[in-house]
This record gives sequence, structure tokens and C-alpha cells, in this order.
Amino acid sequence: MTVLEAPPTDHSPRVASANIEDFVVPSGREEEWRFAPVAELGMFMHPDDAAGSMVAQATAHVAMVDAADAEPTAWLPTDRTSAVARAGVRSVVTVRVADDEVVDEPIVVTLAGSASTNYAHLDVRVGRHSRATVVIVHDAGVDVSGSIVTHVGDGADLTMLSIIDGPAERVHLWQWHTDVGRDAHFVGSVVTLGGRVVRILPSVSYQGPGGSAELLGAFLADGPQYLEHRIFVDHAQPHCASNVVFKGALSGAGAHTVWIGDVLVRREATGTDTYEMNRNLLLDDGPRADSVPNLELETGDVASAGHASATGPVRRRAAVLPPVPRHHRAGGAAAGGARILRRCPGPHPVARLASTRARSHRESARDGGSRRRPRRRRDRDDGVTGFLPVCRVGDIAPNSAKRYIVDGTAMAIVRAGDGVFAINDRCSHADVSLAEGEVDGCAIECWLHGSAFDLRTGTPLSLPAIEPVPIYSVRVLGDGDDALIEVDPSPIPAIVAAPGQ
Amino acid sequence: MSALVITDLHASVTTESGPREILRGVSLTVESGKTHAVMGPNGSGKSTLAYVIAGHPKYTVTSGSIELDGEDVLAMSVDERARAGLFLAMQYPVEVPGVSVSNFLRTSATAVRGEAPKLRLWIKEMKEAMLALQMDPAFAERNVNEGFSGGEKKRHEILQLSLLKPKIAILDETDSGLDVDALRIVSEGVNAFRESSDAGTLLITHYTRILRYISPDVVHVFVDGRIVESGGPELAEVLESEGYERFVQTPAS
Repeated sequence: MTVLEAPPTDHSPRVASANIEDFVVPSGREEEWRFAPVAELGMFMHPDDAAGSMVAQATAHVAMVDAADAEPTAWLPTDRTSAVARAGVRSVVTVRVADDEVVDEPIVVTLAGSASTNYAHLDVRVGRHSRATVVIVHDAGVDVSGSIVTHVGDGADLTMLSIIDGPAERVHLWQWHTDVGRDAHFVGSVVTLGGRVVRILPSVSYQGPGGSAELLGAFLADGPQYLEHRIFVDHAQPHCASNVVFKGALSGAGAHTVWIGDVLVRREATGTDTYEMNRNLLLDDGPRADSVPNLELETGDVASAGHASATGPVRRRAAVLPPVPRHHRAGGAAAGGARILRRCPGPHPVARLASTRARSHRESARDGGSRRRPRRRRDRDDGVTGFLPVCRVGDIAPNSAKRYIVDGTAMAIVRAGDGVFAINDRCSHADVSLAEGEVDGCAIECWLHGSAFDLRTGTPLSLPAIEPVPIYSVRVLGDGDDALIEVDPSPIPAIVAAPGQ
Repeated sequence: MSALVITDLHASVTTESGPREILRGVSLTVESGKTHAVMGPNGSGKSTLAYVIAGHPKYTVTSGSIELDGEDVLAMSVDERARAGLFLAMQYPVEVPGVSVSNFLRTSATAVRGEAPKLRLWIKEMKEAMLALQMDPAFAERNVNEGFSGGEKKRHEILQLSLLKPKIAILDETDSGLDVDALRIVSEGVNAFRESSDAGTLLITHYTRILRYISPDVVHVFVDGRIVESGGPELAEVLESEGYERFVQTPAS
């Protein structure tokens, strides 16, 4: 079947076809290939009979099916490499969860290549009102080009995780399309650590109103790795939601990451709620990160829509987080990766995957707390100096912040771990209340553009903010939740760390 | 005894290419104590029926009538309909920042009952209703629907239902987006309401799932803007196993 479409919008794929000849061999000048090292992908540009197929162990929910007998899918490849792979793959890995079935244990699909160069096709379908978690562990020892087609049935709840770990030697090209059913919920996560050239194209479309999708990604690139994540979320149904968060860290000469986030909200997709964000942390001067968020709105009748992207270095002068030692970096992304990732400012996408539910409960609990304003009592004298009582420790949920006016100054009083901090409530980048942000370790992250500030110094840890935020002295009198928090409303002079440390 | 009587209702919506008819002659009577389920595929107009009964300004009634106990509902404004005893639990409840749940509920109860409930009794009443729906009392202080999960929004709709005690309750896809646990809690709330009052219920749903918890007296199949078949609860079973294809494939010409 061939479907050739005129470009309907700026960012949706131009061509969707099962026919290889409908796609020209990319030269590298095409928009969707302009970053990729196409010269290194020659083996996947033309059909190759010697190529193997990726296989997986059959389990209760996983099966191997001959490509000729596989259930047809509505999905069509949208680029040359996926069309070649789809036509050439001999066996299909299927994952099935029945209607209403709840699978508590993760379904783990470990892929293995049968040759040096492989094609792959995974067909994941979960029935309506089912719930499951599927983990795909890639084989980093072979070159592979393939596709994952996911169908989330009406009202179903599917969480998927794709992991590429291992040596930075091989090529991994993947298209991953997900159809989200009516009122269904989908979480698709990618963790990209290994691979020499990795190009993953996650796309989402909605089959009915009320669906929601979260695409989360964490990646680490060390020279000379090339890691590309190209996302396309197509909102063509009303009242659907999407949330895209990709975070990565890069180090070493030749490390290159590309993040393209295309979100299209079509005219009929009223009531859409969408947000996408990309963060790239440059650990030294060697790497290059390209980040292009595109939000295309064809209707103004949306619940909310936004995007953010920031790429920046670790600012050593301002860094509370110690610089990553050289030997960790030399060990390659996979070796030092986890350590670096833990140091990335902001919530960790992988940690988020696991705690998405817990977090939403926590947030509701936090929001539910009554916002009692403390009575302002001026200290003796003129109230110009000295500590003023603000609230009790128990008024603020652990690892959260609340906004209080202390002597005329709006402050975010923050509980971070065992510590209590006071920081000016206004983000130095835009006029946004920091108290509404997220507390992460010893930092608070502005919810709107994602700048994180060190609570101990007020210095920004990530872009877009570059100016510090005033901080204030805090003392805690007493123990437990009843302990009184007092704040001195005169700002502490900026703490400037010695250059280089 | 109350009855909501809908007779040959036609309604249309204005689009760029002119008015488009969505309801094409709906006739339906919901009496006190009875539960009617309206089931239909996507885009059949069943949610539009709910909106038109409640008085959504987007839709224009071109012909037909809606009467509640002999009163002309179509002549009433939206708030008059609510005071007359109609209630709509919305499919996609809207956020109202700056208005707390407790404030919202007391204000609506005041409007519907004609006088402000005594504060002491009201708090007790609200707490009990929230407890029955397994809602954290802290909810009362949150802004209406702001940051609520899908399940919390739907529970909040049912909380309104139990406090406002309408004569006729219209539940528009109250089951959509709920997991099994939330569905059970919400259904129990609806059942408690049905048992404690003599109200009629119009349950609009896409799936038969909710009918395992809330048993309807009558099931209507809604296709292309009208009711094409009505029957007992067994009709829902037919839809469950066969889908809507049989009803959708009526020849157009």
C-alpha cells in the first residue's frame, strides 16, 4: 500500500509509505536528515538479503511471528531506512495484553540480533481498559534498523521503556509510533546511553478524545556518539494531553545530540493540553547539542500549550555540584553516565517514570494543604533587622515550598531534605513565583522555564536564568513539625565562590 | 414523581460551513427512580444531548421540546434549569482557579436550595459526602478541578450530585478516563444517590463497563443524532459483544 501525501502541515511527515521507492536515498540535505551522519548509514538505505532479524524470547505476552503471518498494522514507515527495514524484516516480535487484563509485573522484551546488520519490527497491542508495563532492552552489539508500533486500547494504561545501553559502537535506527486510544494513558520512555549512531523517532497520535501521552527521555553522549531523538505528537482529537520531557548530558569532542520536538495541534483538537521540554547539559567544551522545539497550533481553543529548551554548560564557578572528575568522563558515557545523570539539575526523567504516580499523589497532598498566612509580627525596634516568625515547619510539606510575605518581601520558604531555606520568590529570569516550582535536592526549579537555583547561594544552576536570586537567613526554633521558622528579611550578600572551584 | 420529557428534539451547531444538525429527532422520557443508559459510538451526538438539556449556548434547538414536570425547560436559563432540578455531571470538568471546592459547593447549594445552608451543618454534610466518595477532606480547600487527576475530577462531579440532590441527573461519560478502582468508587456514589433519592438518572456512556456497577432500567442505542433502539439491560450485553456496527450500518440512501 502506498500513501503519498501533500504536506498537510509544517512538521508532520511528508510521506508515509510501505514502498521503499517512495523515499529518495537521503543525501543529508533533507530537513529530517540534516543532522545525521547519513554516510555511515549506507547499509540501511538499500535492501540487504544478508541482514538478520531481531528476535526475543517468547513468554506469556511475547511471541515471535513470521512476518508473512503477522497481523497488519495501519502504521506506515515515514522514512527510507524504516521502509527498507519494514520490507526486509522476516520475523515480528509481538506483545499482547488482553482486554481488561492487568499485568503487574513488567513485560521485559530482550532483543537479540541474528546477524551483524539487522531489521526489526515490534508490534505491541494492549486491549481496552488493560494496564501493563513493557520494557524493551536493545542489543547494543549489533547494527539495527527497525520500528515499534504500539496500540493502546481505549481506557488502557500502558507504560513502556526502551533502553539502549552498552558500547558506543553500533547503529540503532528506530521509528516508534504509538496510537493512543480514547481515554487511554501512555508513558513512553527512552534511555539512550550506548550506540555510536542512534536515531529514535517517537511519534504519537490519538484515536479518540481524552487520551494522554507522556514521552520521557534521558540520554548521555560521550565523544564520538551521535544521539538523535526526533519526536512528533499529532493532536487531531479533542481533550487530549501530551507531555514531552527529554534531558541529556554531553561530554567529549565529537559528542553530538539532536532533539527535535514537533507538536502539532490540529484544528479539531480543541481542549488540548501540551507541553514539551528539552534540557542539555554540556559538561565540557567538546560536544554539540542541537535542540529544536516546534509547536504548531491550528486552533486557539486549547487548555494549555507550551515548550521550553535550554542547552548550557556546567558553570563551575556557580556549581554547587562538583565538576565530574576526568576519569569518569574517560570511562565512556555508559560507565560514568549514571553518575553524570544524577548530577543533572532538575527532576530525573527516569526517576520520574517510576514515581509519576507517587508524585501526582504527593502534589495533590501538597496542594491540599491550607495556605495559612502567618500573622506578621514586627520585631522590637523598627522591625528593620532581626528574625521574624514566618510559619511552622509543619505548614510546609517536605521537599516543597510555600510563598510567604515577610516584611513586605515575597519569599519562597523551602523545605529541602532536613534543611529550611528562604529565597526570594521571584525567578530572576521572568516574573514567576519560585514557590510554585519543584524542589530537587538543594535546588528549586522554576516551573515555567525550568531554571534551577541553588537554595544555599541563590545562584542559577541552569538556563535560561543567569542572575542570582536573593536569599535570606533562616533559623528554626524547636523540633518537629511545630518548630518555628524565622527569617531575617535583609538579603544575604551574594556568595561568590572562588573561580575554578 | 418527576419526569423529564424530551420530544422530537432537533439541535444544531454553527460551523464555518454553516449550521450542522447534530440531534435529529430525539424522544425520551426519564421518570423518577429510573435509570436510563444512552449508549453510542464516538460522534453520535450523545454528549450534545446532555449539553442541550443543560443549556449549552453553543447549540441551537431548532425544533422539539424538553419539559420537566410540565415546565418548558428550553425557556429557562442555565441556572434556572439547575434550580428546577436538573444536574449535569460533565465529561471534561473545567478548572476554576481561585474558587475553592467548599466555596463552590456551598454557593451552588445556596442557589439550588434557595437559602444558605447553616455553616455548622453544612461542613458536616460536606465531610460525610466526601467521606462516602473516599475523598480527602483537604480537597475542600483546593481550587475547583485545578490540578485534579481524572478520577478526582469525576469524584468531584459526583460529590456535587450528592449534595445538590437534583430531580434528574445527567451523567455524561462519567466513567471515561477512570481506572477500575475509581470507577467502582464513582459508581457507588451514583448508586448511593439513586437509593437515597427518588431521582431519575440519564447515564450517557460509550462503554458497557460502568453498567456492571450501575444497572440501568432502560438502555438506548444512540446513533447519528437519534435513538435507534431501546431495550432492557440485555441490550447492553448485545452491544458489548457485537459493538455498534449493526446500528451504524443502516443504509444512508
